[in-house]
Amino acid sequence: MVKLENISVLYNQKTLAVDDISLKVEQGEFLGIIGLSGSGKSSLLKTINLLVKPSKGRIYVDETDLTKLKDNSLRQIRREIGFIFQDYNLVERSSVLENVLVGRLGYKSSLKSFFGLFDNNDYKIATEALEQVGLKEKTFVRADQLSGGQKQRVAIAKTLCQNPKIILADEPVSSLDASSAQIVMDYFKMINEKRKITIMINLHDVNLAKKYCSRIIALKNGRIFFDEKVGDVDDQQLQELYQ
Amino acid sequence: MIFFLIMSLVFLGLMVNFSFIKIYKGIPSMYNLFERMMSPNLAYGQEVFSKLLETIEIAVTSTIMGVLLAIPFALLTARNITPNKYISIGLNTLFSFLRTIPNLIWAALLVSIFSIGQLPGMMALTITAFLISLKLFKENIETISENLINSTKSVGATRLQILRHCVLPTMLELTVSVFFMVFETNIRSATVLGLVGAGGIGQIMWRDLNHLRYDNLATLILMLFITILTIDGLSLLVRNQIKKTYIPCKSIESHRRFIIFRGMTILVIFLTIILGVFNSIDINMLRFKLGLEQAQSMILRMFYIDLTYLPRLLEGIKESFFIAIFSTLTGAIGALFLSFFAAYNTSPSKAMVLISKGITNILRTFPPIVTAIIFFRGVGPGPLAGSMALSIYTTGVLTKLYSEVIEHSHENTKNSILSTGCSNLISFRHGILPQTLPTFISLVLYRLESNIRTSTILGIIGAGGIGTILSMNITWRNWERVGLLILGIAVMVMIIDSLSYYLRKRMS
Repeated sequence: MVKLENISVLYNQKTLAVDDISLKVEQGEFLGIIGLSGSGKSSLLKTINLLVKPSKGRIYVDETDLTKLKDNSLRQIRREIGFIFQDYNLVERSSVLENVLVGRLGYKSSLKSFFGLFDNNDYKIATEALEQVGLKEKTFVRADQLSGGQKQRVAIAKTLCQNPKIILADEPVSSLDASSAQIVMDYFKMINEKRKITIMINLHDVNLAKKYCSRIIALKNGRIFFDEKVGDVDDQQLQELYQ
Repeated sequence: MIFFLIMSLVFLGLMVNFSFIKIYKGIPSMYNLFERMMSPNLAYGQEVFSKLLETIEIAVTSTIMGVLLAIPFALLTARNITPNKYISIGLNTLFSFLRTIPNLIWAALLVSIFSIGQLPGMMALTITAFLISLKLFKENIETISENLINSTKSVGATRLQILRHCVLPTMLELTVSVFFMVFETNIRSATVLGLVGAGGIGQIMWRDLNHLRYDNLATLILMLFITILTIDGLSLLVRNQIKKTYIPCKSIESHRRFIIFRGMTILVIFLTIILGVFNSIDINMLRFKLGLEQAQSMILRMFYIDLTYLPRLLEGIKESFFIAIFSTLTGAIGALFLSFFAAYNTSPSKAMVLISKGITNILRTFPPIVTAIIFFRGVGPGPLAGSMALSIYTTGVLTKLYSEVIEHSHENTKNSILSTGCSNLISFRHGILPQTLPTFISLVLYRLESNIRTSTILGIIGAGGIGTILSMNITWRNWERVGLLILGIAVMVMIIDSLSYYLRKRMS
């Protein structure tokens, strides 16, 4: 469960990106966040694992208040929250496997990971994750050899290695062509259903949101414009949103 | 436009005492010099060879030390990963000040601290290698996107893990190419260190010049030419190769073995290098301590800058400045012509390409200060010798860079003009030139930055500029004046650098 209480995000002490948002997401939901660019979607997502510090408000994951955590315990809770970016963020010159293993870092001591030493369990989890996103045959390929869609699937596999309860995805399919976007979204759906992972995903394609999400939140100027079950969203609301 | 160019050339020519008569009169003696150099004394080869090895040793050791030292500092100073913003700003200011001091000046200063020999040369080149590679590393790290760091952060990684798993893999490849890039610069610098008594082949070069042993000089220059060309070629080969590395694994097991093997190799290489470096430094602790004490008093005295020396400083700075501007401009014009013939997609014939590329390589092989020595014999002391030498070097470097830019430009631009039925030259003038001009101008500006630095050391051999009074005052140990001169150079270099930065920013 993720719960936000009166979250605001202020950049450079003047630009208000997120304006007093409260929100509760149950475990296993597939939540789509839509809205124009600049409406605060990305900032909202980034506050949830504190990549962006909120200027006020509280963030709860299960019963833990993240805003009160110190560095060490924050890192521990971050393991449970995967984050996927639009631009894949793989280390281009490393192999796919090495990139996926990065997802295990949160479970490793600094010393062992410094020498790149991972144990059998890590390798097992990494290969399973790659299998799950259908990229087993690409395990030893350099990351820069992959297509955009494949890179995003590697990013998903990396996140799965964290063994997360929640995955936050910031416009994960915006730089992909339509068919790769479908494939990547299918994998999100599968993870959501198989592993009961909560997924919060920013999308600018409303049709994708309608097709995959169980609940849709629309943001406008940093505030929640509507928050509906996917069946209840009507065209009138959408038109007003994108005006 | 053309009129303006000619006017400024004439003006700059006046500023560096350019005179055709002088050059014309100098031709016989320069020709004579070449003639005598045509019969190299090959028996001399052995001595040259041992000095050459010393030079290479200086260059290799200092490059390795500089590059290795630069890595931790780059991690400290790169804006996006620095642990503390103020440390980063402080160090960056200090390093950009130190970067304005040319390597030969470092060598001259260190020679007066640690006495004549290999060590000061090695230290001077280590300092410059450190500063150059630090800049390259830092700029590279700063291009790592914030999201990549954030994405590693969000798996719950610690600071050290982020460095190891997201910054280091990108840097590893870069380290090798930075090493070779810096090595190419250092091998050139190492050949002239001897001019200030800091070891290497420059020592015997200077001696032969003063004893008018041109046959010996010819042997030396020939061997130097071959060495530098070989190193450049090797460097190019390695840098191209490293881009194509791949991970040779089939199974998880072999991947794990590969990781362990790679870790071990890096560790072994690292240890060998450290051992090698320590072995090559031969100085007893007592002399070293004495040197440090001398350095302390020297630096203290430098702070009390001697302001009465200001008129001489301005005079020297002005001369250096005009040498740099003149040679950058003439070099740019020369390169524009030569590039047309040297780029294989614009050149009229294949033979022309080979000839022009050959000329380019000869022009840029020798450090300008060596070429200046030759002009010095022809046109006498003064800024003319320096600016001609620097023009030649600039032409060489710019032609190499710009012809590569032309070769990478879009084939279609040229073809679309050619298809209107005009000649190769016209299609260059109206197609490729306008398209690549901004890149050319920024290359020229980079050259200007480098030329400003070089123009301050040409004076060491009497080829004009501030270097003359600087090296005199270093020899006389007038540290208060040296302090003022270094400050003056730093201010000029910084002004030119920021001007060039501003212009480049505006163009893109």
